[in-house]
Amino acid sequence: MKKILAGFISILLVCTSIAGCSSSNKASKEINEPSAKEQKLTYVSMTDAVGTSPILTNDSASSNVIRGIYETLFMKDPKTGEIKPLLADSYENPDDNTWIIKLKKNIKFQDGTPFNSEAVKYTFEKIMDPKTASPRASLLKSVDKIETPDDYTVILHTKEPYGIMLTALAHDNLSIVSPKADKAGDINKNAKGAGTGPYVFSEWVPGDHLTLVKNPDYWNGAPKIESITFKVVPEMSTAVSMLESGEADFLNAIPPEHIERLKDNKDISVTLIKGNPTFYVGFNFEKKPFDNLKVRQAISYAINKDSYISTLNGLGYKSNGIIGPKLIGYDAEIEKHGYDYDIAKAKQTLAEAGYPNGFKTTLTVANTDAYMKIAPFVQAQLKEIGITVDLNVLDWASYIAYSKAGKQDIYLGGWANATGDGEELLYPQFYSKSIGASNYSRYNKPDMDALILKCRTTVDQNERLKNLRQANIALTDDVAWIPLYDSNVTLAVRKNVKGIVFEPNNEFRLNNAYKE
Amino acid sequence: MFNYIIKRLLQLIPVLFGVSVIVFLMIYLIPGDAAEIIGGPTATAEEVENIRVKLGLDRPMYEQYIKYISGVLRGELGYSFQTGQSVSEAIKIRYGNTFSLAVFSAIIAAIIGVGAGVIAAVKQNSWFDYLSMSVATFGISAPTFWIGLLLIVVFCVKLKWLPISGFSSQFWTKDGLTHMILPSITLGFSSAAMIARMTRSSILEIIHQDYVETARAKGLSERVVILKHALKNALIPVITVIGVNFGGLLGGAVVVESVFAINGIGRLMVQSINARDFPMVQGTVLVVATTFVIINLLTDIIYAVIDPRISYK
Repeated sequence: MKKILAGFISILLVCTSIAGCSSSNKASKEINEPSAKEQKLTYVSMTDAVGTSPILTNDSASSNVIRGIYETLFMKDPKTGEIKPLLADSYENPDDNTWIIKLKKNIKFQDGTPFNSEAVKYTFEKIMDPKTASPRASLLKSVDKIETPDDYTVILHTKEPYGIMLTALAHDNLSIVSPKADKAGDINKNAKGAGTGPYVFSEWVPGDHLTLVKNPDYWNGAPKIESITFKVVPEMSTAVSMLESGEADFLNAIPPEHIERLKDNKDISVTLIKGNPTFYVGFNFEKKPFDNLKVRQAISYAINKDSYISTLNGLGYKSNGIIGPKLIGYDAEIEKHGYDYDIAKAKQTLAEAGYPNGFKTTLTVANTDAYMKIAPFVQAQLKEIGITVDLNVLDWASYIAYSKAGKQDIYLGGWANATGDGEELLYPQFYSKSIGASNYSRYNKPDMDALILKCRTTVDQNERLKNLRQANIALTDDVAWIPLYDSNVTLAVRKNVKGIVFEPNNEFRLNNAYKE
Repeated sequence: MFNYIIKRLLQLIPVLFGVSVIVFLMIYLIPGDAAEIIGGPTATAEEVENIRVKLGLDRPMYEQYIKYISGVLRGELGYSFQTGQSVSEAIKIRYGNTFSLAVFSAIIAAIIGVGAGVIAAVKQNSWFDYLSMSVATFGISAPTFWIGLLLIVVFCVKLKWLPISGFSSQFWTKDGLTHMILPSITLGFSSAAMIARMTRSSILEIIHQDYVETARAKGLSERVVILKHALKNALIPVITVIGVNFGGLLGGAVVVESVFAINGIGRLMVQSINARDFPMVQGTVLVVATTFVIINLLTDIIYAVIDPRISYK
């Protein structure tokens, strides 16, 4: 019997040791590897796109596809973060409520129709129409009227000054669609010919894959890549294996536990850049004792952010500010603010707040990987100062509903900023009118409302930056939330793939990608 | 028999109606709705409300259900809240994948399970008996996703013998077959283990009975005794296990579908629940429930075919 068991265990060990062996078996038949020179890219995504229309979607999987098919009037420079014209040629502000945008000429949609001011007007008016129910209609909420004096001029009149107009116009969801394609069919399912971008929609098998092919007539130079397949692989371990075996060419948003495995692979290069997605502990300001600044300070003092970041395999970095280093509006001065780990101060501040023996509370968490790792850490840290934390773990949809309704005490939140502008964080998170929507903290302070509105409406960009910095300091001092860490975003690519541009918000551009 | 089948099929109607009401209530009673998910965390209250109105989620609950069920009665499963795709179309794309995966896994499980079980019983207390029953215990207890990931790393990443993703239900082509091997083994492994244990104990119970001894005394070869006399009678409980397991394979396929990136109905169901995509959840649950009931019916029919003592009136 013992021999039999030993035999069985040996077989298992052989299997696991082959699995753990790092050298590849060259003698074996390599059926997975496509020919290196074939200009075809496969990207693996955890989730499928919701749709292919920028007007009707608001998720990152759809945005990755949309960025290939369509283009915006302006774009954020991936390196500097500066907003520069893309389909637009130039702009001017004769006054704070008027944006005159000149468009580039001789650009055609993939369906052959010309890109002109009518297309811009059509797209924006469709987004603004409540019947369309566009999830990002708020980007154009300030726009009152759109005029098109000629084919290449668009005038946007706003109800009030809208300082972040250019940032909004660089948002993927304000990509311009071909009116002809949009009227002819449902571009949310089949976007053939609907954009001006470097790639054309080819095929979509929902739940499985979506394919784009090269636009040979692309106005800014046809791409070298013939086709890109967005393959849906919900399991990260499988996605990593596909990259290792050559079935996939690149993937992003890699969790810490897979980083070392990929770095050790000689065929794969891992890029790690400082990103803007941030994770934080939030408070419900409408519930006691979290309306008390000293309680919030004590909780911040009690959490050792450095210690948690050290467990992330280099995927996180620390910043004290609510507006982090990779967002417009950040200034290094903020690092002098905030309340760093100091357990003695935490206990003392909690006692000063009137809770020398701590209290009991609930931490609401969504059941995604990142939050599930943070939650027990925060729970254990707060126990040190006498705060007993019960975890309330919810699935994503329930978490959103629960938090919007303000039922939580404290909660774990995350924020990825698509535009890279600090204002896109302040207005949704801390403006009083966002309560019931994305202001889960139910933060409602008239002074801060006024400052946030200034950040939104000031057209003079230098002035606006000053306001953003001031707001960042005020919110950080007030412990509006406790920044735990900002994420380093990751991209793993097979080494024969070059030219992918990767951005701090985890997005990528494939215009100049190619295979060696 | 014919009347029995018709009766069982008619029983499907209240079963499916009950399932649809329960699923509807469950989806509506848990917090969060499709509009919140589509809007995402950045959506304003106004944006979410516009989406809600567009999807009809602002209407009273009973009205939404009546609208849905009247559509179903006309043979229309509706459209996904999230993607706008036709539910029947979405199910059509995925059902073949899950079903062929489950069938293939069941075949593998049955062949390996019955084969190992018979040999283990006949050669009781031999090394084969110990080894196969140890593997079976391991198969029942090892998590499916772990086996799947282990097989991927060994056969796809290191040895590069088989592909990881790209599953299609075209198992009659060489390409389709290579894509089906690992997912089917992964899914069928625990099922095979259960069948092996059941077959072994069932045969052990029978081979010492008088009629088997009689068969031996008649001078029949051991092969005929085991295969014709013992196995046939031992198969009834085994078929129950295979039938019930097949339903489990359909449901359990969601893990294997995720690990091998198979575009199947289990994954669609989980995604739809997470997105509160009510029409899609209803559609997938109805299809899986129908399949489950039909498989149970087929299992009952097979009983009668194998054992003439069983008849349905």
